[in-house]
Order: sequence, then structure tokens, then C-alpha cells
Amino acid sequence: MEEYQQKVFNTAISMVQDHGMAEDISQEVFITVYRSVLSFNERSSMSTWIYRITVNKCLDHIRAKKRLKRTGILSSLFHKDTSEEVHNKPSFDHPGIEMERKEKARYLFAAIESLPDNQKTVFILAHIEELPQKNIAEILNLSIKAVESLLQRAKVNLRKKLGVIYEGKLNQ
Amino acid sequence: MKVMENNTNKEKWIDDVLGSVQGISMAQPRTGLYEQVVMKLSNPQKTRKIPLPIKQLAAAAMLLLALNVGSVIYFMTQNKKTAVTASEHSMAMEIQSVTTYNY
Repeated sequence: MEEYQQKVFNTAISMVQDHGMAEDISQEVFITVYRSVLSFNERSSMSTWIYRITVNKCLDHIRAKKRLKRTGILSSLFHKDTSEEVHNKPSFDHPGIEMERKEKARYLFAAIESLPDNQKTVFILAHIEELPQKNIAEILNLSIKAVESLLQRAKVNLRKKLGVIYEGKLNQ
Repeated sequence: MKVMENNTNKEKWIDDVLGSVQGISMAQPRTGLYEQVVMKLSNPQKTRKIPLPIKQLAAAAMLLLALNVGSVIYFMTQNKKTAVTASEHSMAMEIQSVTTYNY
């Protein structure tokens, strides 16, 4: 478990951008691994299998959070005192970033957060987990071409979003 | 010239931001993750479900139902009115023609 716990936690914290939630996801991942290790068919490597479980759990949490956000909007129509800050997340600091890069990384993670789920996943696995595209393709059950294309689109979208952030910073 | 300089600065800033995760080190979970997993495996708890906003959903459903019923009633009364007006009109025409014939 120690071999994988850093990988699982690092992927989870990068995807959900919340320390507590990443720990919950890591626990859930290892519980799932322990419970279904007998059904692991070794068609893929253990690492690929654990990454796949992690990504799926993260996406489940992200979707649940989005649903909660939507019901938050609904409930704010009924309860006036539902403050926005409950649903708005403060800017995220990844614990593995060096001090002098923290500010810029914060902008990057804010832009990553707004990417579609598949682009976000591919970008994190490629640039934060630093996995080769072949492994990413196996984890996500995609072709290498599809991974390349998602990564390309993610980069284009990130540049656009960061451009908007830069303009906003200039106008402040 | 200034626009070009601004664009160059912008592109440089974007490149720096995109490169800010290069050489990132792995985030570490708090110690005790293993123990917590073992504890959860030995004492399985029911998963916590996020409660649905039942009151809000019920209110929204009631509102939709009321709007539907309202619109059906509205269209039915409108149709009735049109039908009554049409029959009244035809009767009036008939009476008028009968009267004309009598004269």
C-alpha cells in the first residue's frame, strides 16, 4: 500500500483540489482495492488498475460536488442566508509545488479546475503524475491518439483560460 | 508596438504558469492512512448518503403541477367560450334570417 499511497493521494489532490477530500478518496480507493483484489485479472498492471480506480473515484466526487453546487443554487432560492462562500473554493495550493512557483501554480490549478473532466484527467496524469501517454491510454481505456488529442485540447483551453486571467490581472 | 509587447509578456506569463508544475514533488497524505483503511475494513460502516433537498423538490413539483393544471383549465375555458360564442353567433344569424323571412 505504501508504494501506491503517494500516487493515489497525489492524483486525488490534484484532481479534486481539496486535501480532506483527497484523503477520503485515498481511503476509498484502498478499501476498493482490498475488497476486489481477488477479481483483479492482471490484464493490466496493478499500478494501472489502482490509477483507474483513483480516477473513477475522483470523477465521482467531482460530479457529486457539482450536483451539490447545483442544489446549493436551488436551496439559495429558498434560504436567503445560504452564503456563496460555502460553495466557492479558495485558490488551491498543491503541497508539492516549490515556494517560488506557488502563485503561478495557483493560477494553473484554477484553470485546470475549469477544464472538462476528460481533459483535466489527461492533463493531470501527464503533467503532474508525469505518466507516459501509453499508460494514460491504458488507465482511461482510450487509444494513444485519443490521449494525444485530449492533451492537445487541454493545453489549448488552458492557454485561453490563462490568457483571460492575465487580461483580468492587467485590468485590475 | 505596445500591443506586441503586451502579447509577448502574456505568452511568457502563460508559459511560466504552464511550466510551474514542472518538477513537482508528490503530495504526501497524513500519516495513519493505512491504519484508517484497516480500521474501516474491519468495521465496515454504511456509506453516508447526501440527503436530497426533498422540500425544495416537492415545492418545485407542486409549482409545476399547479402551472400545468392552471394552463389546462385556462385553455378549456377559452375553448368553451369560443364554442359558446360560435353557437350564439349561428343562432343569432338563424333568428335574423327567420325574422327576415317572416317580414
